[in-house]
Amino acid sequence: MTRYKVFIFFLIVWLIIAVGRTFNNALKLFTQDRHLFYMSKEQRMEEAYGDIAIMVNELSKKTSGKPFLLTGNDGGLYFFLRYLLYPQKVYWINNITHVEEKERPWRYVFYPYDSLRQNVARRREIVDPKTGRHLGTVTSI
Amino acid sequence: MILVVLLLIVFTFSLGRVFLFVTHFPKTKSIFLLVGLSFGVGVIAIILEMFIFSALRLPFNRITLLLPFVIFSVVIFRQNILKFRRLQVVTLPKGLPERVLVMLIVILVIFVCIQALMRPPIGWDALATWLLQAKSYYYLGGVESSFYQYTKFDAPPGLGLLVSFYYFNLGQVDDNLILLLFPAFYIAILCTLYGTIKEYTNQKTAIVFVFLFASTQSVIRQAGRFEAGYADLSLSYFFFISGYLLLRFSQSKNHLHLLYASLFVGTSLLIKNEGSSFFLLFNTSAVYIIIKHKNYSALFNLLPGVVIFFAWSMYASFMHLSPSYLSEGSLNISRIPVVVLGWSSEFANVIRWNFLWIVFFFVLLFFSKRFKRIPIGLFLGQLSIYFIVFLFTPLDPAEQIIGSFDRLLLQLAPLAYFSLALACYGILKKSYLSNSDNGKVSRTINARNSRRSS
Repeated sequence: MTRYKVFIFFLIVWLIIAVGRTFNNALKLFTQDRHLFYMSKEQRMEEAYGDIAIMVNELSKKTSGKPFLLTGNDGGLYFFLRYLLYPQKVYWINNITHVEEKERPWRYVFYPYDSLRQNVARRREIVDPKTGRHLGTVTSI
Repeated sequence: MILVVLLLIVFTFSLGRVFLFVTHFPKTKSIFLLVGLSFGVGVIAIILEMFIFSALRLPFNRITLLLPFVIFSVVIFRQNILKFRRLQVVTLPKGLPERVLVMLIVILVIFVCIQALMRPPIGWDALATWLLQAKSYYYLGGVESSFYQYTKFDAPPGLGLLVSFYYFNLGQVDDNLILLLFPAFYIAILCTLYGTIKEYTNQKTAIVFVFLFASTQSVIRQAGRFEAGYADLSLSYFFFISGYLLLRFSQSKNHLHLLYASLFVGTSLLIKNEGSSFFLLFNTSAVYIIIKHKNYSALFNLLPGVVIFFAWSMYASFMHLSPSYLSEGSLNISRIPVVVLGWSSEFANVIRWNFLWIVFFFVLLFFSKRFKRIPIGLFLGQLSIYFIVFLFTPLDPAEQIIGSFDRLLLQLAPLAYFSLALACYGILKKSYLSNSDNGKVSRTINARNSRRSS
């Protein structure tokens, strides 16, 4: 009988919490997510991806769609850029194969959030056009 | 464009419905079950068509992909138009609590659909794997080994093929609109869960447990909020239907149940690698049931899944898919306490799961005989395999549990809800959940089963 009562108690609490969370979820549309209704597709991309959305725009212009090598240890940045820029290819310095290292299929190298020395040849800055923030440097090979 | 996506989703449902009709799938009284199964069959048809086209190097475009299905559907529909006209009327439940729960389910469905459209895909796995696959199949005009050499994937192509089918018909890659596919899976699971639970219990039980599933935060996340684009919810759908159809086969002996179960479990292989272990479990269980009932001719109905398994194995070999990271691991028994602790923490995670696992394991511990053996067997078998994987993995198990165990549980969630609903009905039969008007189907099955067992 005790097991039965505990079971009923759990079931009732479960239902109450589920009902409460349903209303909480519905409310999020009018509170947390309200601003998204008024945004354009580009604004939503910037909201979702932050700096990466700007990097994608600037990189695709400055590399003309050619493959580039991403430096640094930020795996998240690699996966986001690889997806958002596809079919442009992005290689990451931390997971290139021996064959790729030998053949070097990339035409550019991107240093995220790094400023290279002024005398490095063929370097182009990746800058947020709205705020002027430096987001990285890309050099051609 | 959103209308095109919605039309394609309706097309997927309709295609599945036509296939179920043509193959004389056993009639079901539940329109919801029919709708839920139709979506899955439609998805299977699309994935298999794309898979065969890519293996035969046939071109991928709107005409070549859509035309075979459209011609087939039109021919069948014209010949059998009178039979398709019989639409079942759906009525609201009579009780106020049930009507309130139905309203809450509708709110959740609307919430999830809006959430899917509000953001571009941001889920890690969606961007790193599943949607990237779809993009590549679209831009390359098919599946190419060069893509796998570039990405170093070992992921099966199923979800990518399904999404790219939609891209080809949209005429562009719109990864925001395509996220509507995931609420479609959510709706299909809700419909199937309702129909299957009602078949074994009654309407009240079905509505309660469908609501509990629909309100589970982990489910909502992958259905549309933040993690749309992941493959775990769609995989859970295939696991669940395979388990349900195997249960139906064990009771009805109808070979079509097993045939479709085999198709669903075979397709799960093409969705995610976890489908392989479930496939083995399923076939072991199916063979055991066939031998137990001495229904040896039913073995041939396992062929679709086996053919898909071999086709996928050959495909992985030709495409030079990277070997699984597990091949670098070795069994490490000393990890058991770490894994048990990590798992317990996830089971007790009320934010993600509400009280699902607490109630589930409580009922399993104290009322285990109420569970139907086939779905609970598949659930526990797959869970055991996940446990072994964590003992084997070359990665840090504690970190891997934090990063992936919730998604592994999501793959089994519909099966768990189904099993739990049937068990809870057995416990609460004489109280609130029983209703003489709505228990007819379950009474029929119970009477039939008791005649058979005697």
